[in-house]
Amino acid sequence: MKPILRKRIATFYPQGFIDTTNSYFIITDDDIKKLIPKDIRMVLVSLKRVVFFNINGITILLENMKKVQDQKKALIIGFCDYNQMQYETIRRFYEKNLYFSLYTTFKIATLFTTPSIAQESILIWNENYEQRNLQSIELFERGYNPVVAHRKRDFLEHLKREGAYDDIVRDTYIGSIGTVPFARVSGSSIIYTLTGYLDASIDNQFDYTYHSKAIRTGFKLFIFDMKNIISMNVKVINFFERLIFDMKELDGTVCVVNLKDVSTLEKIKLELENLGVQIFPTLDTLLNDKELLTELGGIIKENHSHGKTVTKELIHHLPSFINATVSTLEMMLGVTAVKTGKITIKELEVQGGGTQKLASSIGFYGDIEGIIILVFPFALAKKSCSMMIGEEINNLAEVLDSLAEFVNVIAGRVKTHLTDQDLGVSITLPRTYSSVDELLSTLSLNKGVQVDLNFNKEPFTFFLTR
Amino acid sequence: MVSRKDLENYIKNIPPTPDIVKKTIEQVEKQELHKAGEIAKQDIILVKYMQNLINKPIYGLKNKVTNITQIFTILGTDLIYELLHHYLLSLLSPKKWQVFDLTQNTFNELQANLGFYWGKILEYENIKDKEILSAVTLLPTAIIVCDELFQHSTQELEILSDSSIVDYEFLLFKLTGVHLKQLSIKIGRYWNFSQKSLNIIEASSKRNKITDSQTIRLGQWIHLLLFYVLSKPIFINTNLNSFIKFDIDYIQPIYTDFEKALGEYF
Repeated sequence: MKPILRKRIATFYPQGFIDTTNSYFIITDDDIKKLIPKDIRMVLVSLKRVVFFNINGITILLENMKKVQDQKKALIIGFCDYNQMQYETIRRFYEKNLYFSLYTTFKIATLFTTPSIAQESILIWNENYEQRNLQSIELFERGYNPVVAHRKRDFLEHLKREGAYDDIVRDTYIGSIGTVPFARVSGSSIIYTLTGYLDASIDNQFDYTYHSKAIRTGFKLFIFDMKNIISMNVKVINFFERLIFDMKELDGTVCVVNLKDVSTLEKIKLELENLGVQIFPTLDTLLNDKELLTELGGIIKENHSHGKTVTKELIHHLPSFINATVSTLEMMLGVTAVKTGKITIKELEVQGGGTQKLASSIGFYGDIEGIIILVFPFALAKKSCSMMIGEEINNLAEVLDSLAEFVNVIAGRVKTHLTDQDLGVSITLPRTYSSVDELLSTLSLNKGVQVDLNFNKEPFTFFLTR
Repeated sequence: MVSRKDLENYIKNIPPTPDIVKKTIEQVEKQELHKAGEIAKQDIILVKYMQNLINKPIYGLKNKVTNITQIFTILGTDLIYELLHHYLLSLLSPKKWQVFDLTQNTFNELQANLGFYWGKILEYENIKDKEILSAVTLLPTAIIVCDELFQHSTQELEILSDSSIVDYEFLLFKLTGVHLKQLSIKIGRYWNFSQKSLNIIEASSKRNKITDSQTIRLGQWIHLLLFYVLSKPIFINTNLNSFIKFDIDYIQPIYTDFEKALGEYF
């Protein structure tokens, strides 16, 4: 089927029904070949005139769109022109791995590919605050004037203002945030969720690069949640043996939770315990026992300082990092950043001491690798995070929690910037620190590029290292 | 691209119903299937057409049937009546398709699919009426007409299709002031299709002058059926899937029954 090319978007318009039998014919290999050389930012399938689709049909379409994406790294793939029911159905189909984008209409999709002409006012609502903020940043960067509603009732109030907005972005999802679906962070531990039947194929399911970067970012406790595991065989023991061996010098801990209580797994359980894997009945048993958690996941010295320092390539891409960080903060705070001092390569040096400051770090790896560190005064962090979630945040724990999401948004932006320059990177989960001292004691930092900025007289430090 | 004059010329050149087909239909209407079969035998193209269509997998006949009188008696009055009308339409189809990527065989496949599923829908709706059954045969008229009228404009269509979906209904109306379905109805009337079947075609899109609720419902069914069939793999890349606009809102009243109507064939 021939796609329509408009505003750097290639859109397929199937009509009627989408299922396993016909989806291969909607986007064919020939269509894929023809799209690769085109100057496009998105490949979308419009559902405007689709009355029925099933998960297999949609998956085949996505696989074919992904073939174009694999050849054009910055390409966004997804669907547009759907109704509320279709939106919810697709979200349900891909609940755990929504890696593609969804735009209510083609016109809304174009907002994310074309610059604003007259600073159009765009109202944004999404239940997920990370999404609504990411969307507002994307639009802000293109010159639009985004207005984010942080509560449904606020959104409904905004809607009553007839003609106040040029466009309304709702039921829209940007699928480019680079989190790893199989891992999530809880405090200073990482929880890996594996699925299906575990055998030697566990190597395919587990992202070793991600894991080693997480170790280098300072994580110590790794919990494997087995709730989605149907069964497993002895090959799994080899996997854990290797994992523990690799972490031996790092004093890391590996735990397994939600392992089924069946006789066939008894031998495996025993072998795992012999290896030093700690087994707990449920995730809550472990996470709710703070004392035990501290004992298992005490802060360790980060171990990446083998003389690695910033590379020329990393410095070459510094503007991407700075732009993503600054535009996100400017957007959230509504103030312009002012650079104070020179950009220098040095060890991290925080003006005015680090005790009253919060920090966060996030690693990235792939075509280039490094760690971004951001240091905020408490008040600035509090204000940025409050703006992001749309609620007043007061205590330190809440600020730290939201700061992790905030840094994730920035890293997502960095990833997009790099992808635009044909660099593929994955990002680790973010970490936060209640003081610069905690940051320094956790990460043995090498020299890096430091940029000092000022947001409304509040100092802010950006540090990029390897 | 296409002018009102082209359209008038096209209509002028529509062939009349062949004598043998006319006589066969008359016998079928009298329920004289054997006699009808005997008359049909005289038209070798009609015989071949019937043999080809009825032995398509969608009709699910266990053994290949080639004897024309046998075909007539196996299928019964209503189905034969419908097939004769399919045949009439096929006479109008171009020798070489220019706009749509069709062959005579894929066009016959389209007719067979429409006919088969329409039969299932009418069973579900408890309708046994050969005139209503034959209404579906008029549906592909729009496709034939578009291919004939736009055959000299393929380059322009190619350019158009780069930046927008080519909606032939819209194009034809803009260029000639005539709606595609009006053309189908005109052809149907010329070939003595019943008023009932012409009304269903009239009701096959939201803008219609029909007030009878059953005809509107059948119009909605036929609109959905067309896009169900055009979503089949064989037709996706023939340019047919988007040749006219599928109106999802219009078919909402019957959509939930669609799967039930088609049953195991959905």
